[in-house]
Amino acid sequence: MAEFPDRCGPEDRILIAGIAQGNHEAFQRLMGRHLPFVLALAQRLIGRRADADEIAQEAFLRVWTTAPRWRQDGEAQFRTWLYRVVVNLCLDRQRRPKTAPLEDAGDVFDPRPDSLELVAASETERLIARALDELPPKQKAALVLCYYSEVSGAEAARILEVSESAVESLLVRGRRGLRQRLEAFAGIKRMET
Amino acid sequence: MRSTELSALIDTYGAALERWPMAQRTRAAALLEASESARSLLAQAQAIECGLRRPPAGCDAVTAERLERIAAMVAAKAKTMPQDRPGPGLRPIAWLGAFAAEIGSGWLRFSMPMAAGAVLGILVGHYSVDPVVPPVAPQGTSFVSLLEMFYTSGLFQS
Repeated sequence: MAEFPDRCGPEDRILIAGIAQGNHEAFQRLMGRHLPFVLALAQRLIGRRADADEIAQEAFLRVWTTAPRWRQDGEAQFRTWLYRVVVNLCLDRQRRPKTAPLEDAGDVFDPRPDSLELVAASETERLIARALDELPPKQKAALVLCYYSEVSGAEAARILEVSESAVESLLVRGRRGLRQRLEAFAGIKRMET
Repeated sequence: MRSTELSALIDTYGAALERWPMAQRTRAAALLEASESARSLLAQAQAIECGLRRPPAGCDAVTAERLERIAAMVAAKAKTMPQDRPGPGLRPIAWLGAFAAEIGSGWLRFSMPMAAGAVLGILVGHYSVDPVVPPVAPQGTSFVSLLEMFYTSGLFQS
């Protein structure tokens, strides 16, 4: 997993103050700190590489444009705010009708031993990704934030703009949905073999 | 405890037993010790959670090259993109809000900008009033007149 800063520490605050003054170097440094995880989160939530790239770009351009208005007041921690932007952009995009770009059509099968090993090793991950994709978007977002991003239930609630108990409920339904889908996939696989 | 209850508890609390309430954990431990299928159920749930924690594999991986390309595109766009700054008319209100955030928390950070807005509204209302009062208006009871009376009464001068 990409390493990312825990909170909006003093360094982020200084950088945001610099960005608010139009400082491009501060903007580059802030991107360096947060882009790896923003991109990984978007990739995990949206699934499609091209969309994840666009969402990461859009999120950071919002950082640039809104920095002069951004206030560090303890409630709107930068990381929470940034994740909320990413999650909302992903949820908006998931509501649009899906069109599959050519680059997502799948890789051409490479018969070399290395690729066979890779396919076997990542089979579970692929099934989990597929099952996640079939979950309702908010359940998926709650699971990704709490497991992949390892944010607390309280922070996930602030990011998703729901109560902590609503996050718990999303997690319960998400885990159950994921398990049921994976069981169904396993059943299909058994029938095929 | 039966396997169906264990499955429901895994859905509720996740596959990390140490996060479960003690009572359920003790009961689950007894079942896990006795039942192979219960152990398999828990192992399956732990494998799923482990998969959820791993980053996407293969072509979706977040590589340094991909990060550099995105950062370069964002930086180039930012150079031509204006920032969203508070307008000059609203700056005093924004400053008061920022000041309130620095000195306090809770109602103060909301009430100070609102109070500033209210004062601004009264001042704008007062100075933009048409001096020609319609003949039907009860001049003696208008809000502006009351303010003027209050002001001229000398209460503000001490």
